Amino acid sequence: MDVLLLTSLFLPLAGALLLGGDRNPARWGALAIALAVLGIAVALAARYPGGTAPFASTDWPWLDWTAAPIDVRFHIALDGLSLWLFALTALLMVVAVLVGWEAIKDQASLYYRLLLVLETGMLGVFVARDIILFYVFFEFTLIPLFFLIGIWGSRQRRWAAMKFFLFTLAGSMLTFLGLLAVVLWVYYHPAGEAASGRMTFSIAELTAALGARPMDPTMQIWIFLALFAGFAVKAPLWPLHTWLPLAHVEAPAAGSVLLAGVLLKVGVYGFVRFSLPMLPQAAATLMPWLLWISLAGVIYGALVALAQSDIKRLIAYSSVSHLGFCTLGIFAANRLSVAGGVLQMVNHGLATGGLFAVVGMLYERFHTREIADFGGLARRFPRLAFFTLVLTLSSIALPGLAGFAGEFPLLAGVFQRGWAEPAAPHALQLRAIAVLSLAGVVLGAWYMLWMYQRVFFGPERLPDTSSPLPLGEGPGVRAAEDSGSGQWPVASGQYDATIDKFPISNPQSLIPNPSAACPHPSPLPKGEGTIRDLSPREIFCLTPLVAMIFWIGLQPGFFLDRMRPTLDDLIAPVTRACETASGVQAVFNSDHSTPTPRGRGG
Amino acid sequence: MFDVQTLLILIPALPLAAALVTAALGTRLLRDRSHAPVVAALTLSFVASVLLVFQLQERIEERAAQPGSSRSAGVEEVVARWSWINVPDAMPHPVDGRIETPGWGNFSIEVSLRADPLTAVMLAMVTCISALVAIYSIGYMRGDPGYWRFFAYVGLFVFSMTMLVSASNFLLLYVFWELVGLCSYLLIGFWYERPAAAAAGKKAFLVNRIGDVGFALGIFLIWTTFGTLDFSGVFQSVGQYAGDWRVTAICLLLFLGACGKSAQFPLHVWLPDAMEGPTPVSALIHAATMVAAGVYMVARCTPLFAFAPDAQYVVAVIGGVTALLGAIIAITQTDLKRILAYSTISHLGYMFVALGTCTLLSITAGMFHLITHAFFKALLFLGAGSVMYAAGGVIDIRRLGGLRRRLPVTYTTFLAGCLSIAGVVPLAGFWSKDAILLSLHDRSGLAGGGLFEILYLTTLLGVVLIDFYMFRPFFLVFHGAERIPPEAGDHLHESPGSMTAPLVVLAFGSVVVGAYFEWTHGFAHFLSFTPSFECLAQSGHTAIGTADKWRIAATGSVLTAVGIAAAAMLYLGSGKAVALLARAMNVFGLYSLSYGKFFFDPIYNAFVVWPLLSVARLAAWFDLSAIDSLVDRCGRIPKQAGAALRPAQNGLVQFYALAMVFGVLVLLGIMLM
Repeated sequence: MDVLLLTSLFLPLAGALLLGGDRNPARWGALAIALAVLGIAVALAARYPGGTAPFASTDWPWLDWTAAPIDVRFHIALDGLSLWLFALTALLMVVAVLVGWEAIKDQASLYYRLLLVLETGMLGVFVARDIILFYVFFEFTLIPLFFLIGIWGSRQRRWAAMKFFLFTLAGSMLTFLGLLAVVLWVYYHPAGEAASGRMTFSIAELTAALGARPMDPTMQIWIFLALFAGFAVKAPLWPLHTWLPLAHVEAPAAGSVLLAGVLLKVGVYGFVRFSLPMLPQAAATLMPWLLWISLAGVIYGALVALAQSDIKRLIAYSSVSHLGFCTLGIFAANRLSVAGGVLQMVNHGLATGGLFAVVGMLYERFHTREIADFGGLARRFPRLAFFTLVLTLSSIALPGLAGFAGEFPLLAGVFQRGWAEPAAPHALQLRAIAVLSLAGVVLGAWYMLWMYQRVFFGPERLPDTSSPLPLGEGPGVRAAEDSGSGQWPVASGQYDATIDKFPISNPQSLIPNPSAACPHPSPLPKGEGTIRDLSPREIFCLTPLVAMIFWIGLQPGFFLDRMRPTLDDLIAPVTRACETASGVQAVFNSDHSTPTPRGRGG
Repeated sequence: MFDVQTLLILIPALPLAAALVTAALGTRLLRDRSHAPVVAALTLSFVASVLLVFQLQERIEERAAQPGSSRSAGVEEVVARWSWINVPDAMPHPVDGRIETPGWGNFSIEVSLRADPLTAVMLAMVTCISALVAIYSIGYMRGDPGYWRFFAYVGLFVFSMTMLVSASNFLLLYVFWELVGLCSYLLIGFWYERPAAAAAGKKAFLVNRIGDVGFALGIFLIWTTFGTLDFSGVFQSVGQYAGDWRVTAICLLLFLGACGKSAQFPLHVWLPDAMEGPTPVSALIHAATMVAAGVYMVARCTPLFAFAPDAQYVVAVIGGVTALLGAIIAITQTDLKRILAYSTISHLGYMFVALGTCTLLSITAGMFHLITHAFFKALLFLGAGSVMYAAGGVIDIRRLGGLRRRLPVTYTTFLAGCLSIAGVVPLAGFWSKDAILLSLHDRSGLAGGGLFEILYLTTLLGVVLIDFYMFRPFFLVFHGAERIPPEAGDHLHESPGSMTAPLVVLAFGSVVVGAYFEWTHGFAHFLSFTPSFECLAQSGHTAIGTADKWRIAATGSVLTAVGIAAAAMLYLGSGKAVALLARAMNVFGLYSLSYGKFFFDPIYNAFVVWPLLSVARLAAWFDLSAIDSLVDRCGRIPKQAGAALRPAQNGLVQFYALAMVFGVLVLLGIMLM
């Protein structure tokens, strides 16, 4: 039993139950809890010994009825894969609490309690070492986020919340079936003589059992697809991504930060934790397909991002592109690409989480997110411009910043999959994928720098903030909306058809000509005195992100060394499966249906 | 005294420290003294670089005194600071048992710097020019609201550039390659409120990104081929891959990166736009140092190119095409800075021609030209800046004239620069240009030399064009009737001492540096001890006869005289001859092509940018109308299914009874079957 990890997991939940009252005690309480959890996460990371043994483990029986052989345990621990994601969650939680500090005015205590519940869910996903426990936390994250988006979101928040919830749930139902199938298969096909006669749900035991006695390939593929359904929606992989831009745009800033920063990683985490080590043959067989899908996400996401006129939607689509990179690395399944892919998950959380926080800060000031409404902000908001620039540059993988430290090994690994010897079975396809994925790098620089140029450079243009708050902001407006047609779209059996049409009536307006629009700077906004550069609170909120971006960028070895042993273990079965496939083809030129592990690891 | 290792670290560390200090204290403490840390650091870096050159020179003399097996062994020195990333055994061993180098398959990237003659030469040049430009900027940038920001960026740039030339593996080279690109982006867009400047910065970054994708692909291919990214590891084992298509592919991909950074055709389009940045930046980054990074990279990768003859031809031909293209465009431009930008493009083309020729003679000639070019081109840009400073920001040569009496120092130094770039004996430009011509002529005598004969002639043609396009603005701006634009006011006068002093120093350099290197043979000798060039020592290097040397030098000089005389005749005389020339050129459409810069920008807009944006819009539309609406439709299935079944629950007892009868019948039927 490890008190620290247990505390960090349940402290937010306890806080959610105890917090209450006014806005001030709620937000300070939430901040204190988030900081405490962050402190614990830092302490755990500092003490993390490396290697492959689970760390800070707590293992209690949970559901073990004597009547049935079921052995579900409450087992939590950290390992190399979960360590940094755990720490990232703790860090982004602080950002999330701070980013809505002033913007959230009504029902603040409920808001902060939901955030804390969400934190427990997210932390739990990464530390659970039991399939049922994992799945509980996996679904548990949905509920608080559903309410966060549905209550504090902007105009189409309810539709977005519902879509997000149902889409994700539909996928994860199949995932649950897949996980159960794994458990049952292992139960009925015990490895060796040491059949204990109990149905284990322990992730480690299942992985070991499947390593010793692999499932037959067809079965693997079916189960892989079932797991894929949920994880791919979460990640999100193309073409299952459409809930994401909607949810991001409608979510409050904190929701976007956590959604992009943490929740998207849950899907990719699932691939690394379950799909690859448990179903290596399927992963090896499906590899070209998986890589093509990832590549489609990379390029498609980048192209769609290029055509966006709303900063938040642009960043949301950039997430589709970047998560495509992550899964590209994961599915290429070699040491380099997986290490890069997992590191890239953390980097994306830092950079994109930070960008969503910045968009929240812009929105708080100007009540708009349209790129065309802004211009030349760098002069009056130098600190905001600086932080955004660092986050943008990390997002486009500028060397020296975190994005590069993840992307470069990732792509090197993908290349290696295509070129290394012995040649992989689909070497040509893999090579094409590796080369094409670099288009995402160029497009990424294009849409991000273009956005930055239009918002921060050029003649100054500040949106008119004297207009009333847009719909969905401020209690009065919401009350009015609620009394109108404000029923849950699905509950009422119908929704406004215009709601899910996005405002792209005029495609030309998507690509404003930066020099043509608004020839003379608009008059200064009425409330000029109130619109200032970043406040100390906001600087405090962004500084840790930027500091981490620099640290990871300058010394990625520090982070990789701690996660590598675990990752090497997790992907060893796939690597073997791939090697066997190609080795068999190359050396024996015959077909072996069951993979036999070869001596050479890694 | 400092040893090589300390110097190697000090040279980049000082500018970085200065940049950080300036960034931290610029707004509050330093303000209009913001230049102090950076200027001091750059000067010290320059001193350190000179010391480094001397220390290496000592080693070389020791080495030369005792002829051993390896010419350059012990000349280089590598200093590793920390391990950036280390993934041991990242790559499985090759099945065919090809000979492996130590550390094969470890993705192990060290932040390590290397000192060898090539690096030392580049370091000395970069720090020298940057220190002079920083001093110049004290006067030029005075009063700018972003004064501290400018010097912080310059410090960051010099740090990145010095790291770039001393990096000791491909990944580190790429890292600083991108970082100098970032500095370029920030400095081009320094006056970010001007839309043109902001757009030019983005364009520079993106075009460079395209090149960098090639560079990155090359690095990945190096990794999968050689199992290491370390220069020494790759260069040692490249011999085992002679004739492998991958070596040629690697070279071409790396060269694509070099094309982006060094503004070679077809990726040259960003450099003229980059002139939106402050003029000292144009001089430092977009003339002398950063754009030469591509040349440095190809020179550094000589061992790879030596084994890829096809890649050599590509480099040489692209260089030749660019040299001619830049020169032709420069003839008709009217913006002095853009003329200089196209001239830079053209001269970088010359350097690539030399590198593509790939003999020891030609590569030292290319590097020689890089150094002399840095001096005279920085001088010309700073001179142009001085004119701008005096003329209230006007840089259109049609609106200026007869400034020689008003700006005597600028005039004299600019003349020195023009004569040097034109290659008049015995100025610096003459020697380096002559060295390139010689090496081309030399190579054309070897196997497969026909191409190089053509390039030799092309280069000679380029010489005439250079003289013409440089003396045209010179005569227009400084000679003839006095034309002073209204922006200058009535106080057009010479620039302050902080600006003219660097001009004088650079002019001195442009005049003597070539002759000094040539007569002492110091440069070629020093450079030839670079370990990377050892593979060339065996390559064909025919002795060139004295007669050949004289003939080539004479040909070059005559053509130079022709070019200058033509410019003088046209632009010192009446305007009629000019119009006549323009009409003559336009018979072939050449004038329009030149004036329209061969229409690269509209072509790229029409065939790359616009289609991509259209596809992007199409994808955005598709995302909502196809994928997302499909998702929504799936979401409606349960509701619609419910609606479809709802009539069955209609509450009519008769209907239920009927349904029951049917059900029983069906069941009966099944049971009977």
